[in-house]
Amino acid sequence: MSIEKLINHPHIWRGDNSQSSDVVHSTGFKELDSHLPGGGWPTATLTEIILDGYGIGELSLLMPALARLNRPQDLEQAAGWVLWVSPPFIPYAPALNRHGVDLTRMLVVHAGRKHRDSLWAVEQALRNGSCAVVLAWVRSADENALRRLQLAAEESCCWVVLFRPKKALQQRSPAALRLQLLSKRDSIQVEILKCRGGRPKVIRICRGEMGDTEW
Amino acid sequence: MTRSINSLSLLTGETSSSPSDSASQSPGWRKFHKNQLWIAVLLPNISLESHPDYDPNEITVVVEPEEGHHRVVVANKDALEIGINRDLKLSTAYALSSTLRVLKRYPDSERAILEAIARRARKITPVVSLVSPQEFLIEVQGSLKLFGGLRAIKKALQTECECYRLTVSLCAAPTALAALWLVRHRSEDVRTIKKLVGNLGVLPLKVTGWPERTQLTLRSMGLQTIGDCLRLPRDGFIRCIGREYLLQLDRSLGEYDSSLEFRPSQSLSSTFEFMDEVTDPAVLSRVGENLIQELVKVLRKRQVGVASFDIVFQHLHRLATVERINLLGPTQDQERFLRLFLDRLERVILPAPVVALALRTGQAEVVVARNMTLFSNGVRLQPIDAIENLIERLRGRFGATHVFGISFIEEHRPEVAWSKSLDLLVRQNKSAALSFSLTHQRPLWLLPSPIPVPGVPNDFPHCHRQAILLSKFGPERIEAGWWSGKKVSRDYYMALNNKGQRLWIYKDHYGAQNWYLHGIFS
Repeated sequence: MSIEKLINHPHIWRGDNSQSSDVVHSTGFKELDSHLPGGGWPTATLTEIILDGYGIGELSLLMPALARLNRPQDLEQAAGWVLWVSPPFIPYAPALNRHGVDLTRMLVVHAGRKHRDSLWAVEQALRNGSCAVVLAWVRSADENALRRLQLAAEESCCWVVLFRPKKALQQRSPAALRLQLLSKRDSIQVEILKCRGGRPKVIRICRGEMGDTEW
Repeated sequence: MTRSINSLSLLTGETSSSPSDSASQSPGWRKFHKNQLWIAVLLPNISLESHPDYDPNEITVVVEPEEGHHRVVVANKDALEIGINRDLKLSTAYALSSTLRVLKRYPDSERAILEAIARRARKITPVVSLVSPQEFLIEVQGSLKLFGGLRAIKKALQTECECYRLTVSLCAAPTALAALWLVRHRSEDVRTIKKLVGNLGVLPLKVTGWPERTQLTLRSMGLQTIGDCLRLPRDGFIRCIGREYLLQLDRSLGEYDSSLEFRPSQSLSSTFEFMDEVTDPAVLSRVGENLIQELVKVLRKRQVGVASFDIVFQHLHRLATVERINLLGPTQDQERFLRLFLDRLERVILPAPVVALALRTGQAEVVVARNMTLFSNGVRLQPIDAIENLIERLRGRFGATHVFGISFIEEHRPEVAWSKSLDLLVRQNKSAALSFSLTHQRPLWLLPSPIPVPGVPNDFPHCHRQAILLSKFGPERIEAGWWSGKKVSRDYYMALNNKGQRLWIYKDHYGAQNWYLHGIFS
């Protein structure tokens, strides 16, 4: 098999071939932006965030992008909705408001205990096409389910963020971006595990940058 | 008495929201000028004559329970002859006749018959207004020529009522309220506004159906007729009796436009009976699809939409399984019905095989269809419609209370500063501008209810095995809510635990002065 043939094979994807045509949204953190291909969160894909427990800064990390995404950029473009699927606690309105998120375009779904139901809800939201961002807390999902979501996300131009426990590290994932979050005393450590068109990297983001001025 | 109060509240309820109400506030009162002719139809014995067990040859009364005893509502002719009148106690009626036949009142069947007649009256005019339980009004000015004059219309109404074997009284007047009051006194027709004052003036106060207490007040002032009321000074009447009664007098004389419309309820249903007992969901979904197709055809033809429908699975020797599906608004969108139907079918647990599948819609409402583009290059749904679809589907699966929006309330108590909002699309129209700004930080995660934290000591600042209180933040004292009974007095701190979570904890000043975890800064 000649090398050209191999390169053109549809199942082979070259890492350095960064898909710059994809729309990205700035994360709001310079350090992180510079290490993500295109300079921001890849939309129209699946992003997996792996962390132990809750509340070590995973929401603050997303807030700048969320606030920008659910406000209309110009008058003709309608703002997108933000869907929260099975959040572990109550997304607290005063804090969200402070971060500039438009609360009138937020929808929360409690999909019950079965992870299948949560995945169903995410997929419906993707097929529907009115959501700009879907945040989902899914304890377990097999590779097929994730692949389905990845395909649906690409089709609907919607950004899906899955929050997953640490044991998901042992699983293969079709997600375009995979991060692991660790909390440090005055920073959070963002480890890029997998990044389509980029390289693995460890980044530290200061708490001070995340809008916590009092640290 | 209670019945007439009902009818009154119906009338006043409608007009208070109409623009004419604002006119009443201003000194320059708008004169009612539209040329109208109302016919009031009174069916005085409807509760007797519509009763399924009524036999006109017997001495019969219809009774209604009231304060521990039964009271006669309507008595038939034979009963009246021996002196059994309405409002008599049942025991007294028994004393007058031992062979008395007593029927219990059936308000539902009365209402059904009244609505049936009102629906037939819509042949004559589109403006039909129901004043339950025994009267309705129709406006016929525009129909006079076509149907050959007032007399012909009255005759037609009379025959309609006679079809149902109902006694009927009719009276025409230029205003709705005047027609109603006149018919209650079995008066003559009044054709012109000018004659209205004279004809209404002689009516006793009883016909107004005002509450007994108001009537008593008026009688104690020596007023017997409507004419007596009209002679009183207006401001004095408002002070002593009330503005709404003055408004009613004005309306009866044609000062304000007053009309409330009756629209017959339309709900559609259709059933498909299987030849055999069916359990296969594929068959059910195919049949359901056909039923929905038929339904949508009818809806389109009538230009109406429905906001809810029931799927009824009928079983043999068993109660039917009924699944209710609610939509966010009336629609005739076939795709939407079908998706919701299939979602539900997937989840429903049928206790037995199905012998028939039925579809029953809720109340049909008029919908305005949106214009489509000629070229369907941008087939994407409007975002507002799309989100409606999504909400409906999610609610169909997880239940209405599990799909909600979140709104911010200007409040100091943290647990009250947010609320679930279930009417998601209404909320959208509200502007999100808030004047309220918090000086302190709030966590992104709030716990549904505070969790007691054991072992955090009172001293401050303090390092603890589990959590460190962070001195730069707080304490923030929140003391509020004494007015609502949910008094709150707390000192909020931020703490860092060994997992790296930053916690929002507070010390309660009430009770045992315990520490609680209330949120997580994320």
